[in-house]
Amino acid sequence: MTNERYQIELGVLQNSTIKPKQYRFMDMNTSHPYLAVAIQTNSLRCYVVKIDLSDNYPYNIPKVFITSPKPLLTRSGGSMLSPSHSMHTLAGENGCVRVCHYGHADWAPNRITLYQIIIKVRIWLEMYECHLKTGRTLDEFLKGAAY
Amino acid sequence: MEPIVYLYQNHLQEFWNSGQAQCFGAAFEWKGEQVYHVYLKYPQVAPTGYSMPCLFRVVDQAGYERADDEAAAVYRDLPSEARRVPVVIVCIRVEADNRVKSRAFIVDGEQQVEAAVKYVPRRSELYTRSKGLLEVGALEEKKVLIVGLGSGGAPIAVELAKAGVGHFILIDFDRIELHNISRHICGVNELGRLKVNAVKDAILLKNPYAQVETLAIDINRHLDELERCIAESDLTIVATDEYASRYNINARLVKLGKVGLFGRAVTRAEGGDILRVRPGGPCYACLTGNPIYHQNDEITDVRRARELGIIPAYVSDEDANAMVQVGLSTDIAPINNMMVKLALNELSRGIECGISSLLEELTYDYYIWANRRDYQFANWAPFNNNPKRHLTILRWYGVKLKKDAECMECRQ
Ligand SMILES: [Zn+2]
Repeated sequence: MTNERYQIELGVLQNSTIKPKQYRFMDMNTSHPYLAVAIQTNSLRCYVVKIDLSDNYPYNIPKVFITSPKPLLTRSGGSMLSPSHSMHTLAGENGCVRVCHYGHADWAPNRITLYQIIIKVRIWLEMYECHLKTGRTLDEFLKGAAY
Repeated sequence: MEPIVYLYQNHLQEFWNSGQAQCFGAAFEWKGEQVYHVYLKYPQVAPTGYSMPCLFRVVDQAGYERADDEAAAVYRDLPSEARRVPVVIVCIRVEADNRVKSRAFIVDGEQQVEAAVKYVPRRSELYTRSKGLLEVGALEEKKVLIVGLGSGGAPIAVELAKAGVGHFILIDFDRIELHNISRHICGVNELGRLKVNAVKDAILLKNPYAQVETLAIDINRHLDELERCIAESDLTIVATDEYASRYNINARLVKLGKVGLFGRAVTRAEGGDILRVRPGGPCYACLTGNPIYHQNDEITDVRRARELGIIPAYVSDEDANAMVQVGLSTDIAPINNMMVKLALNELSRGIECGISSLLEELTYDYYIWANRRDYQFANWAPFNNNPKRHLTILRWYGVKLKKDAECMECRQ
């Protein structure tokens, strides 16, 4: 990510509902920079999310992982580390579940910022908690939503 | 048919300047066709044909007139192992006015046949022969950067060489593979070669004096090098199939105020589009963020599409394979052709020449083409029954594309 883009991302986050203590850009001068975000859901449960910025962000869609709790499990205690269309997950890495957020067809690097990704992940987490309550897949909750 | 020997004028001149009386070269013949290309030094592009020995000798006026005897004498003096195959013998004479004359003979044992001699001209003459719509050498000083040398970039490179573009930078880290062959300009005899080298050769076969720099690199990992190449070039042709590299090129075109042409075929090559990025106009990100833009590129390789995330990980191999429907070369050709026209347009800006009139017509930044009424073009009008002149197939449409005022890539 260029410095110009970094400043834009910071500006958007600073003017957003995300509080400064919730996020931190990590390892920015290495080949593996990422954004760590703490997200609290409506149920007041807290999750830590890692947005991987290493592969040409924003030109490639960044990988997003739930790093805490690790690993995230299904209602029945099953693994969510393999790709699942109905659960909106991609192949997990290092024991962390990888969330599907923007797809290839709706990714637009000149309009979408990390803030919007965080919002999508927040929605994903809310749906995940609905799944824990009811056992239904995320797909069923997200039907009709532009996801 | 009388045999024909092709000599390279610049080789002869160098030989003459060296002051040697005799030297060996190499000749190449297509078996039985009696056409011989004769080289005094190894040419830039590997010669085609089957090789045979060749000997050059400088003769005086008398020797030139009875060159058949000279050739016979040269042949007799050759070691016996050199005489096991036919030999080409060339007698060279330089006139008082510095004109080089040559007579050539094909000698095989007792048989000696004189060949007609033809010359491959030096640089200055090569251009006068292509005198036409474009000023001689008008584009000789122009430099074009081409990123991606697949079924798009490679033919565009060769067409630009034919039009007289004199300088190229080629970037691609891929090699010619079996699945490329049906759509690529390179043939099976080049399997395994780096595309940059194979396409460089294809350029040099059209214009032996073109200057071609090759970089077999992943530009996403060499952004400084990419920036240098864009800065040095008059025009950038973006023919890569990968989003990150397109965006990386776009960012530098915007930063440096340079012109670039982005061309691609969409899924299954049912059509394609071209974007021109120029200072002050919409950038590539303005286009991809616009609803008019059809996101699905042509998918030619499952493994690559999976790596790039175009085919999501949860799609089964079977479904993924069904997504790969490679278009025909003939479906890519119209896009390449338009890319070349737009490229020549940009390169000849400010130069008086026969194609300048197009500058007033090809003023759009975005162009769309449909090959078939399929998929995204399914509701286009039929070609043959279209009284209201709706959008139809097999013709270009220019689109007025607005700059995205909010675009994070190009807003000031
Ligand atoms: Zn833009």
